[in-house]
Amino acid sequence: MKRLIALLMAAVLALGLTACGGEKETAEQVTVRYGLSNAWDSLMPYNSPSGSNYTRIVCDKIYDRLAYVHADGTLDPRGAKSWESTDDGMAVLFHLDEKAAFHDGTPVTAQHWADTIALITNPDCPALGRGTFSVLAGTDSNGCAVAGEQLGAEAVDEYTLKLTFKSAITPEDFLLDKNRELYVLPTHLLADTEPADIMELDLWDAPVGSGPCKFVEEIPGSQLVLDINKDYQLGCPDFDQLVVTVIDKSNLLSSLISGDLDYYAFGGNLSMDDAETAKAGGIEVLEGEVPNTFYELMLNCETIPSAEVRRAIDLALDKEALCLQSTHGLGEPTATDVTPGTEYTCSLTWQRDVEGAKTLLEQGGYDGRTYTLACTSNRSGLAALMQQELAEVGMNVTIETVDSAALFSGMADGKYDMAIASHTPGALPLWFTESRLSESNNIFHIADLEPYTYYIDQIKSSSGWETRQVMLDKLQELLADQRPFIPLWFGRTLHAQSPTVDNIDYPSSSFSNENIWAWRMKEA
Amino acid sequence: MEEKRLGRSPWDRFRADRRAMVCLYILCLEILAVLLLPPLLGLEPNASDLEAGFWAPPSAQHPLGTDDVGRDLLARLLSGGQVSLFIGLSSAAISTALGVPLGLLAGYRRGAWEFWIMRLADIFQTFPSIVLVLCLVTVVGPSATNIVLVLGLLGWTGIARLVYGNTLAVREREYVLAAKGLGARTGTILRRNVLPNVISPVWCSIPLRAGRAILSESSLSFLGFGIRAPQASWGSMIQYASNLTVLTARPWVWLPPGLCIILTVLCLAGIGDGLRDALDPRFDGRRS
Repeated sequence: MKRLIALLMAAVLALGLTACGGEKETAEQVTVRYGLSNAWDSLMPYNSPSGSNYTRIVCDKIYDRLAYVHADGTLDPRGAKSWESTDDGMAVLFHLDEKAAFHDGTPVTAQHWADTIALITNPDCPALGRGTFSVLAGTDSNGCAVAGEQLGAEAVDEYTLKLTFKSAITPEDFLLDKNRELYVLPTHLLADTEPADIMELDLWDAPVGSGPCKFVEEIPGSQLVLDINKDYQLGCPDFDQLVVTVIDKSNLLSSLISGDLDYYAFGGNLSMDDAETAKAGGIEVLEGEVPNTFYELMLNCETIPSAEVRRAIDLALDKEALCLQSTHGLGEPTATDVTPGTEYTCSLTWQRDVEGAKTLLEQGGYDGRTYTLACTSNRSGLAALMQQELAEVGMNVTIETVDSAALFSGMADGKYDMAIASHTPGALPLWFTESRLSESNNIFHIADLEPYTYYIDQIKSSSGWETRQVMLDKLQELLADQRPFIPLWFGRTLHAQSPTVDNIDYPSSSFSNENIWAWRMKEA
Repeated sequence: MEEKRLGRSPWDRFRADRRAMVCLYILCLEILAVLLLPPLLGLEPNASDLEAGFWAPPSAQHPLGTDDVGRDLLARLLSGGQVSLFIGLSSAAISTALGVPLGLLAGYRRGAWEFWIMRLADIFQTFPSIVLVLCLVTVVGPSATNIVLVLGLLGWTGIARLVYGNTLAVREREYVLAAKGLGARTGTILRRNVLPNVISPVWCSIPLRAGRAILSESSLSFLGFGIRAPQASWGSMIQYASNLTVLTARPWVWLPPGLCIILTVLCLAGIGDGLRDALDPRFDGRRS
């Protein structure tokens, strides 16, 4: 009897222990810690004052986009399973994924996409960044819907979205250019709200999207906790939570080495200078193959009105030295914004000519005034080098170190005469010029945009590659003659590989999208 | 022994303090070096040597190497020393110039003067100083002059409190009451009778305050709110150490300015200690 009781007790104990173990296993959450060097400024993708990549990469997790753009310019399905050109290239049909659903369980339909576009282009809605939609029929140059005109976004059926454009465009070109600005909103939750009040909703403090991650909580400007959306149409990773933490840029690599981070955006970017440190810390380093940064010196054409003076600045700069200082050998100086390695080319070459610059300064009537050069703090060395090179030709420059938002707003307000900026280059011929040489974003303060917009319109309306290339050459010649901005170099980067997470598409992170649904934890 | 010590002047007593004298000599040498060496050696702190390259290690041509833009680090160390010492000493002078009269007025006049000056000091002291300095520097813009003004204007409270406390004790002394009885004006009493008897601890605190200002400038520069590029300061030079590669592989970049800051602050503290001992007639020359 005693033996029987002992056996029974042992069995109960074993069962109890097994149950405890099981509970512990299911309760354990696997978290991926994600570093970001700057904070997002809004969780409402159409309400970001900076429109920065930091906001885009965060919104990329919560909201869905039509496609996934690879660094080499190829596209994969995301919110849309496929797409096709129609109406002689004037429209594109997007066949949406029927499995896509918002985090509250509501299926994502073409009506959601059409309603999102209708809402954001509504002039009463205080949306930011709606210039993206200015390519659609029925909108003005600012992306606002024009009263009485049919908006070029309609739901053909439940899962087919039709976008109609002002001029012919291929679906690939449209997606390469605009995909990162296009998110679908939960318009079923916005039905009772006036467009003017949309940005005031509490919904944006705890947003509901249809992306690969669900919002859990946020410490604004510091931390964002997201749960993995296990029902995401493209699959889900084998971890449960993503914690995005803002960490100073200089600490990202050390945090990765010490194990405080599993990955950092964008694509574990690493300078050549830090590669040895990363390797010594046990981090694998891969070299990027496509240019992922384009540096430019923005000029204020209102305070530097003479094209000769602007060309003199171009000639005074030693782009080779500047590029070397910044990229440590992973970049190529350039005389154009046309991205190398794409199907479009530009025959312009750069050169440094100190004497030529001095002559141009004289011709341009430079009066010895001191210009203000704005830059972010991590580029103060670069600015100092430029300052020396400009001093060599007799131009005085003072450096103002400001944050990125202040830099762009200062340029837009005309506060600064020059500013150093970098961008993620695109494969399209107008990836840079179209958005910056427009009335709505005349950041270079060009008095007469017409000559530029003429060529831009010609390039956009050209159907064949050859005609486009001819027009692009003419636009580049005009830019070289007027120099409203100075192209500096295209840079590549190194990628610090995550020691804990596999399957990350590092290079595509530069395009503000990440294949988080495919990430897998490495075996310990 | 006691009589002998009391008979000596403060300067004699300071000179007798070997540690304070060593600190004074080092600080004087440092000041002479940062002022004289750049013109004597023809050093140019803002010129890049692209042939030497970026981040070049120490060599005969560049004894401390070059920075991220190819600028000579020795030249920048000396030029940065001028800025850091200027900020430290000038802001301490401004704090003293403000703190002493306010402390005297509050302690001697009492009443509304005491209430408003000391409550103002309380308000200033309730804010975390680095946050307040950061905010003000952001508003007025980062430059050596602005940093001196901000640090100087915010640093008066400590000195004012020191003078205020001592004035409260001195204002009841017989010689002050006698001067008052003889009809001396308040300004005269403060200048002739009160100030000489409360100023000793202020002299001791000036070097310490200068050291603290150098550290504050270093913190501001480290956080990216310091002086404007391309000007150098010791603080902005150690900012390079925030990069892991520089911290681990290029000690020649951040070690010299770091050591200069430590040495200067230690010397200023040593001089402050020496002044305290020299100006205190009751101090018997032995340290605890």
